[in-house]
Amino acid sequence: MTTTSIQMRSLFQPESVAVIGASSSPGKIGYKILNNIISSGYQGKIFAVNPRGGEILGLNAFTHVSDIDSQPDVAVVAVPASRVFEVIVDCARRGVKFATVISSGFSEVGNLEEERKIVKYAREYGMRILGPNIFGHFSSVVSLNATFGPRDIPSGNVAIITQSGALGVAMIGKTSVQKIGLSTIISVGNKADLDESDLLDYLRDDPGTQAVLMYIEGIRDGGRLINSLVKTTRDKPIIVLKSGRSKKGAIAAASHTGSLAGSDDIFDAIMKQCGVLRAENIQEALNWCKYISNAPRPSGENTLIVTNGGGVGVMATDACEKFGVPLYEDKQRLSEEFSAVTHGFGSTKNPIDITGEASVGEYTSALDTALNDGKIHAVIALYCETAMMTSEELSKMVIEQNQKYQHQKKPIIFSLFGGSLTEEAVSRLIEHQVPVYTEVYESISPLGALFRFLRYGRKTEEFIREPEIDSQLIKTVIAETRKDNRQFLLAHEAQTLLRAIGLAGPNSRVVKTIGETVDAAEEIGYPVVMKVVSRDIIHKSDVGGVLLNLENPHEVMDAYQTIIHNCKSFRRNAIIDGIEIVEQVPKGTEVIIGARQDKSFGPVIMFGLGGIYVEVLKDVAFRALPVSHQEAQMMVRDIRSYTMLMGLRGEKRKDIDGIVDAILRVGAVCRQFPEITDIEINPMMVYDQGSGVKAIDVRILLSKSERNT
Amino acid sequence: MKKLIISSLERDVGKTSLILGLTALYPGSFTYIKPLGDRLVYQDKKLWDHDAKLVGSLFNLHDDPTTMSLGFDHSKLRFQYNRLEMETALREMADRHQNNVDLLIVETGRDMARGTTVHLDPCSICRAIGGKQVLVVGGIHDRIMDDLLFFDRHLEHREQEIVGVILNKVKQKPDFLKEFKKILGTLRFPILGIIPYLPELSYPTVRNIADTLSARILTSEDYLDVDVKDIFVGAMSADAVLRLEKFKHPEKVIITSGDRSDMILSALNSECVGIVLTNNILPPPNIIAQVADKNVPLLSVQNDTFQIAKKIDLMIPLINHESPERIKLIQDMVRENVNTELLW
Repeated sequence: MTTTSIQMRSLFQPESVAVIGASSSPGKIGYKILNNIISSGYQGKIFAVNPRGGEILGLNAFTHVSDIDSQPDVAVVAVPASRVFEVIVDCARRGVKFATVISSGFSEVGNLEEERKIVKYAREYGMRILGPNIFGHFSSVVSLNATFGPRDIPSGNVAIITQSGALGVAMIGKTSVQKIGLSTIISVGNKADLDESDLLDYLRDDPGTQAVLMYIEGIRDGGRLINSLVKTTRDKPIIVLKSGRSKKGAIAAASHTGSLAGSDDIFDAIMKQCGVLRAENIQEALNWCKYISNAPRPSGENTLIVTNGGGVGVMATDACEKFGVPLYEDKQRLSEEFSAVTHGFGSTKNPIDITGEASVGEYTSALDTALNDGKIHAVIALYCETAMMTSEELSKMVIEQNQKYQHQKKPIIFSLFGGSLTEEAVSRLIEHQVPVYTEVYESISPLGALFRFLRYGRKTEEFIREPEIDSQLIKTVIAETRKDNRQFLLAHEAQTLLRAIGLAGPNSRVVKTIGETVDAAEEIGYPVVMKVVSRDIIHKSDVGGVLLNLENPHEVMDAYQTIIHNCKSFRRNAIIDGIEIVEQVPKGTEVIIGARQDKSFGPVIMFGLGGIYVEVLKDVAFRALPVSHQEAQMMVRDIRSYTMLMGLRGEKRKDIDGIVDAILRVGAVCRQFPEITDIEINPMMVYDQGSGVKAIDVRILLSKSERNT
Repeated sequence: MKKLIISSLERDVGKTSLILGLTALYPGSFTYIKPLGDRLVYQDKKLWDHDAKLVGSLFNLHDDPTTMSLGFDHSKLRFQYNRLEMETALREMADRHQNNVDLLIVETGRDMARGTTVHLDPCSICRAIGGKQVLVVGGIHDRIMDDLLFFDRHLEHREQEIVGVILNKVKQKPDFLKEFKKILGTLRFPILGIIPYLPELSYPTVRNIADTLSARILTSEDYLDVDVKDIFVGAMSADAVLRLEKFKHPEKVIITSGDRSDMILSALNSECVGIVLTNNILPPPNIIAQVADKNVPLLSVQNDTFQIAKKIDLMIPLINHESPERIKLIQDMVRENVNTELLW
């Protein structure tokens, strides 16, 4: 069920709010929430509901939702879990649009049944559920604080969506201390109904939101999330924090919200694909949000470092490389522009080192020069505490510079390092909303995030056109496999499917007897490869079911014996359906292309160089399907060993176009046929540029039943 | 050239071990063939029988081990040879060293019927090349006696000359003799020897286990030739396993899944000689490093725990080059318990 952005407005800009479970006892959540709503300045209608009625916080309490004479837009449900359903029934019948269920005790403790019952009932009346197991939500546009967190939440332009209640409440405090104003903070909890996708669809169009921070533990509907992300990240930065990266973290996440963390590598890759910025930790995420939501958009990426300390300048250079901040490198020009404002023993390379002797005036001159230089698009200003400036002079200079840069729409970021005086200056500057940090790396990281966000926005949206595949033939192959009650395709079936999607494989035959084996080898031509064909053996190489480079009939006969022997040793009762005789193709560069139906994200494709690169180094790239041609090209470039394909040590460039084409074809079949749960070409041999690719071995698995997964 | 055909009614009674012992005692020169191979080794596109190679290399026989067998798989043998061609091929194998040696030892298939369809059963081999049969029997007492009496009662149907019978791996030999001496005396063929069971020869090594399971050896490849006296399946928690008496036995191999770091570390702290990781699941690199530090072989296999335990349970430890002590032990046992004069 989807709710439009306009409909979602009632959640964020409700005209009336009812608190069910309102209480006059200060220790109760029902009290806290109602108190927050009243005291936060919300101007809409507020209703308190408590079975005992009476007066709560100056309001006449209704005993039932149905007694309210109008339809509240939002009902905040803060009653014990056992009573939630009856409350939802009341709310739904009353015509409430959104119920935010604070109560816990549902799927996070294994009570999925009750949760589903609530959502099902609500939907019958067109009501949407936020939660359960949440702390509530805050919306600055209507000054609504319907949470049981701190009362005072500073308004601003950052939206936070969080799957963790306690973390969300803590972030309210943290953002307040760090002077990050919020447009909204909203807790999704168990995501029984509304999830991040629904909320993003609203926040994308919300003029009051300039950046979105999401804390996620598990994904419910990855396909829908991808759609929402992609539509949003063109215009607004989305910063994500996802836990459950480690095995133990994943277990903890599952116990927290009852959700599966899924593969972190895939999540990471897909976030990049969607233009989402993934932060390592909360502080980094908050730094990015604050900076990007307020920083001017530069016209380019040439960045200049201005520093009064050589050491921090070098560190900043390292940090720029780490965070992808390109440094302006025209040495001659920098020398011409900055010699006048740099001491003789300073440096006019980038970083511009004005030395520790620089006064406020000299520092100001350097920054003014950078500001007025059209070739420089962003500046990193570093300061190490010296006796040449007082704390007040420093603060004043920084505030002025910041204002100038804001006025000219050029991003600047400050890193001030020193003792108590410098720390005082930093605190003062934060109050003035200056982008200032003490640590060099901490200061450059948000600039890197800004550039990444802008790069994604500049990417041309490419129309996704999947290659033509022979769907009818594929359906036939799948049907034959199903008829045989198998979930995986035999060798010749897999080869047929490859042909159906337009990928070339080596010449091959499947035979039964040793005589046929020898005949087939003679017909195909030596050397040949022999592989067992067995419904009971999927990983043929691992059991000695694949033998290479057979050059004459004797070797073929010996290989036949060996394969049968090895397979019977592996599994005595294995049914040997035959032996595949395959043309041994010339050596090339081995790659692996795989696609599968991911539990969180749906069809996902993987690419990597073969052998140890994928098995040991895990050097692979993932993307959610469908991918465009451009995205497939980027995917190939993403792997660390990409230079191997470009040609090393005199070797020629490999047929990367062939790889990209294969990725698109494999992606197409995986996406169009969800009953194919796994398809892996390993290895695919890649030859020199223009000489194509060949799919040597392929493994294809189907889902358990004919119904789509 | 004399020809001795070593055969058995049942499999895994120790024919190869016996051959190693007998040939060490033979005063002249000999050669060896195993027409129907069963312990297949494939390397560099060459195929040979494990036992053939072992005998060949231990006694410096000049034959290429790939020529000591005609084949391993019935379909291949049927494809290559009809009956006459098979007999011709056998004779050629037998006559190859006629002028160089005075004894040919022929080891037949795993049991008396094996190879019948391709004319490589012991009787067909005898018919083709001549020679005398030595029957080897082994197992529990009743099994041994069943085999002997079966052979005796049906002897008149047999054309070939039987030299005699050797009883191998006889548990509690004195008790066996006490119970069956009288019946043994009624047999129509000589008992050439009764070799007692030696537990030391029944222990597999970690290498045997690795080979049987086609395991990937992750660590400590130099420590594979160690006897395994016990197998332990690590299915319970680490706390529980440390309390188990069986877990404290030394020289054991632990079977567990690769994601059971707790079990692996517990195994390292007890005296284990190897760890088998099932389902192709590998532990984290730091765990692998700890295992390597302790010189314990870590073997990774594809199958699940149940299948692996079953395979290990059914495996027969093979003699190989890396076990010279066992080979010497076998030779000593044959010298002490077999009357070889009747053989030669």
